[in-house]
Amino acid sequence: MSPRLALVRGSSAAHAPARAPGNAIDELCGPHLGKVKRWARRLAGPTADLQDLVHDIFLVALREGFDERRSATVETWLCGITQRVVSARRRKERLRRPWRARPPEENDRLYRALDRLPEAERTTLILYELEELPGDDVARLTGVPLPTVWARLHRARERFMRALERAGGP
Amino acid sequence: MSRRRIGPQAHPPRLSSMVGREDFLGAGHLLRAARELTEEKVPRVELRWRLRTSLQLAATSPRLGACAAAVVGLIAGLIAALGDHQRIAPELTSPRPASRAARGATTRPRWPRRR
Repeated sequence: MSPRLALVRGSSAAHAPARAPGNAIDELCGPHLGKVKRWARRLAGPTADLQDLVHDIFLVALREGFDERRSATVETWLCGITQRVVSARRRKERLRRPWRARPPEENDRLYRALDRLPEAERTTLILYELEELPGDDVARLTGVPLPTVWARLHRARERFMRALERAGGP
Repeated sequence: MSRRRIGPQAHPPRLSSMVGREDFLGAGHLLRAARELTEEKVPRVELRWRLRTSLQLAATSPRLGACAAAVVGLIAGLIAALGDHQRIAPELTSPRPASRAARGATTRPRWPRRR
């Protein structure tokens, strides 16, 4: 069995993870752990628990299984899952935030401004500006056409600058 | 003169390339500072173990649910049986008085009325 086939939805590894999860875990984590780690850190910000996030992302991936009809590549699929998991985590954090006190971080100003953007624009801005991915890659990873990426980026930059302006100068 | 609104542009220069006066809000500086990620280690062995445990737990949880349902059913059955027993028990200890017909032999004979 090729490494990719074990992750395909409908294959034994995806449907019976309790019997032989080791192979599927290794096939998924081995080549993709580094990228997932980076995306998770970038999207979730400096305060998120990276180990927990990575665990949740791979857990969702192993449960869902890769579906070739829905995602072009394993990378696109994993990036989509990362976006969903991080977004859910941020929603939860937003509810908890008023009761949680933590020391201010170096990147707080940046992420506070980023948090004012809608989810899709925030992701686009982070992938383009922080990850420094070219527009084509951002389009592939977010699953939208290239013109949509430029439109989202344009709106995201406007909102981002406005948020920085409101928060005060450097 | 109306102010011209600039629309979306393909391949715009990155904000982090802004320096000096252009970067009066400090966006370029913030993005440049945040770009460098410190290498964070996610221990592979621990991640593998956690994933394996989570998957096994997910696989066994339906069985756990079935067990819990069986236990709840058993307890409900026991409670119902006890209730039935208590409803029957008083009849055994204190039977209801027999009907008049059943007591026929013991009925007092009536005397004819006096005129």
